[in-house]
Amino acid sequence: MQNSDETIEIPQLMDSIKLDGFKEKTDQLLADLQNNNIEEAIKCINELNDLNGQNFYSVIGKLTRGLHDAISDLSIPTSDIESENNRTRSDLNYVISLTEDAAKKTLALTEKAREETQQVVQNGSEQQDLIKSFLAENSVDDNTRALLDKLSDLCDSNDSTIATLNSGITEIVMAQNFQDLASQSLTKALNIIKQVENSLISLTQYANLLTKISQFSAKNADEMNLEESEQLKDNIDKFNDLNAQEHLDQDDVDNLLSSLGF
Amino acid sequence: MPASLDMKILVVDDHESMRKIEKQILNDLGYKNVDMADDGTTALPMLQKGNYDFVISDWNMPQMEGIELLKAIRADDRISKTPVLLVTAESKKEKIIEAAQAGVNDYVVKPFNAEILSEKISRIFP
Repeated sequence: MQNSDETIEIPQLMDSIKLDGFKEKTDQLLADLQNNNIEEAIKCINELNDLNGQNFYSVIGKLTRGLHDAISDLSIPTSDIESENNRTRSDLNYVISLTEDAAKKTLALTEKAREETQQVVQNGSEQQDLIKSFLAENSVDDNTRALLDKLSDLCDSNDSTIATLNSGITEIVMAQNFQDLASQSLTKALNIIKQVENSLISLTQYANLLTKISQFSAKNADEMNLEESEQLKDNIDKFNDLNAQEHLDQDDVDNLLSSLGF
Repeated sequence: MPASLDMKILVVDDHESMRKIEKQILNDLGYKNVDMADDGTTALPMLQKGNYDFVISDWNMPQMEGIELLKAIRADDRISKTPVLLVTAESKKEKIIEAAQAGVNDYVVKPFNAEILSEKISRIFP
């Protein structure tokens, strides 16, 4: 788990932008335009667009990888070690369930405490009744009366203490309010993070396929060989299938990003 | 009509801890006749059968949200007049307006305490 002094590294996105090819192609474009070589100039423009697309794809891919790794770094290690080589990890949902369990445990204990204090109050009330009843039915000397009065005062004092205790128990109960709000906020944050990650993953996949498809953009159908035609068709099919893609779990995302070079 | 300490109250929240908190607060205020439901879908049949005098409900619940429960209560002639208090983390203006338009009696934003709940009950049952 990240401690409060560590920071999660954000990839240096600008480092992934390749500017070298731009200068060379731009110089070539200028030369072609100056020489009125329009066909070559158009070819240069297409190649510049491809470079631009590749840079965009590279930045998006790095951003997606950075977000995915940051999400993975939110994992919290538990204290259970299942084996020497395998340490169990959990995510923020584990934190939510931990706080919920703590709140439930606290509330169960306060309920029990309430029952006990009510029993003490009841016992005190019975003691008062017994003392009054004894005094009403028996003649007692002054010392005994004084003792019974003292016992009665102690019962009253207990009532006051119990009232303070009950007030404290109520405060403990109210303090558990945090769990519900924390849980809702964490769940919302997790959903937002997941939505952003899913969007970036889709964007990365689209960018990857568009980059591949655009490699054939300069060619007409009759200029492509059989392998190139099949590759183009395959990439177009994959592009169309992206919309029907099922939800990916964290491992799927990791594998996908790795396969795309990020 | 002032609130009777005997009135039958239904607390609806998908978080067990919140249900227990609200029940304890109501007990402390003297209202001992308190039942609990974990979602609007559980609460609605209880309300239709159970002669409840008052409903306290959360907004965000998985199967049937509090606002949907409120609308269902208002749409059912048998229980349409049951006072409903929404106790929720939703504090956006449009949500409060939506609740008011759906016929909520009052609205409490979490976190809350016994004093606030008591005040709201006094306003609903003057």
